Formats: sequence, structure tokens, C-alpha cells
Amino acid sequence: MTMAEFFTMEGHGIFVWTSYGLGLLTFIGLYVSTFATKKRLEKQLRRQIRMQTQNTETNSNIDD
Amino acid sequence: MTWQWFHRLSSPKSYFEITDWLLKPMMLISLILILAGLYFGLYDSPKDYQQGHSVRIMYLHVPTAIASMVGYVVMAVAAAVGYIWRIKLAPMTAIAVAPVGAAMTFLALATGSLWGKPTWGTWWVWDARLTSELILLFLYLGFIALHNAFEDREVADRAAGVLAMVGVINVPIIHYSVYWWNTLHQQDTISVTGESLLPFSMKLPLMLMIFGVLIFCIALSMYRIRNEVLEREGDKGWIRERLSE
Repeated sequence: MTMAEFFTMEGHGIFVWTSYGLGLLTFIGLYVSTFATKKRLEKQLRRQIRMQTQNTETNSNIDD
Repeated sequence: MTWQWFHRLSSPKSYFEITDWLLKPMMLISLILILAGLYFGLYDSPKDYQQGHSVRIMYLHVPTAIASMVGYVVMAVAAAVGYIWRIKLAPMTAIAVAPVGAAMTFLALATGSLWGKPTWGTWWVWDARLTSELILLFLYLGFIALHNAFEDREVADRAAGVLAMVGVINVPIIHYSVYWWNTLHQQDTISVTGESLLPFSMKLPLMLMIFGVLIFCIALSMYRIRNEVLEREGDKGWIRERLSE
């Protein structure tokens, strides 16, 4: 297959490349959204843990 | 009971321990399979004597269509298991798989349309295969919408779970539509049991892409199940220990 044939696909390039372009976008979208959610949840939980340990520390100080 | 090991295995904690070492290799394998599939599919394989180069759309269309149906069956079975037994991971699996399955259904429809134009001369026909696949997309979207509609997660799992279970009837309809009805869509070219009509040069990229896409979808869904666990069980001690490490 020549370089030109690879890109034009003998007139079918628009159909083939649009398909694979959509595929790439969809797969990247799924990947990014999954790991963005993971990051957000982990950050949120870490903050909660930090706040709770701070609270227990303040409480124990009051008890003293 | 012999069921105990199963329950222990399906606990969110052991799920995290197993997937800790399983998921990265799975993602790597799927990437390798897909890259090899793309090389052969887009470059190192013959064009079709009738369809020309548009046949290369097959290497994306068929894997995403298979994944769309496999995903739905997984979602429906997980919903049913969650409905019948109290296995926490089951309803989490159902809602984790749904967006991945919906995305695959969208791709199967879109690439099918882009393949139909140069091959059939039309973007869309209301034949049984295309219509039932479109219904599959609506079932996925309906499941997600219904699940989002409830504040209480357990109620959401049950309500959307019923939809998932009822909708599974559509999957065999999609599969057999090309045999039961006279469709513009062709019948199966490859077969698990029978002989395949494709030459090896075309079967190779197709198989690479089928396994690559399936493994990618499975691994991604498993990451999404981990997200569900974090969201629902974030106050559990073992999750806190993991996060403070």
C-alpha cells in the first residue's frame, strides 16, 4: 500500500478515518472519565480522613 | 457452606487486592492487541474485491458490536445477581459496565453507518439488525438515567436492575435478526464453532481487535467498579488504610 493510498483509501478515506477517529475519541473519553472519577473520589476521601483525624485531635486536646 | 469462599472472594476488599495486580497488565495487553490490530487492519491487509478499502471499518465495527452485546449480558446478569443475592459487587458491576457498553453501542452504530454509506449507498435503514442495536443503545441510556433518578443507591440498583433484566431479551434478537428477518445487514462472516468465510489476512486483524477491545472494556469496567466501591464504601476502615498509605 502506498502512502497516498493509505490516506485516501481510494476514495473511502473519509469513511474509514472518520470511523477510527470516532473510535479513538470514544476510547480516550472513557479512559479519561474513569480515571478522573478515581482521582476525585480519592481526593475527597483523603480530605475526609484528614478532617476527621484533626477533629479527634482537637477533641482529645479539649479533654485534657 | 461451600459458598463462603465465593462471598469472601466477592467482597469489595478482596476485589481491590486481586485487581491491584491484574488491571495494569490487562490494560497493557489490550493496548498491544489494539495497536497490532490497527497495523494489520489499516495497513497490512488486503482491500475487499467488492467493497474496496471501506472493509477496514469492519475491524472496529465488529469488535464494538460484540462488546456492546457482551456488555449488556454482563450488566443484566450482574443486576440479576444483585437482585437475588446480597453480593455488594453485583449492582456495582451493573452500573460500572453501563457507560462502557453504551459507548460501544454508539460506536457500533456510528461505524456501521459510515460503512453503510459507501457499501449500501445509505447511512441508515430501519432493518431488524440496525433497529434492535439502536434499541440496545436506548436500553443502556435508560438504565443509566433510571439509576441516576434515585437518591437511594439500593433503590436505584433494584429499579434499574429490573430494566436491565427485561431488556436482555433484546440481545438474542440482535444476534438472530439477520437470520429471522430479511435484513440489508449481512449475516455473520466469522463463527466460533463453524468455519469462517474470511481469509487469514483479514481474520488476524479482526481477532486482534476483538480481543483488544474486549479486554480494554473489561479492564476499564473493573476500574469503574473500584470507583463505585470508593463511592459507596468510602467510610470503611480498609479503604481509609489504603488511602493513608
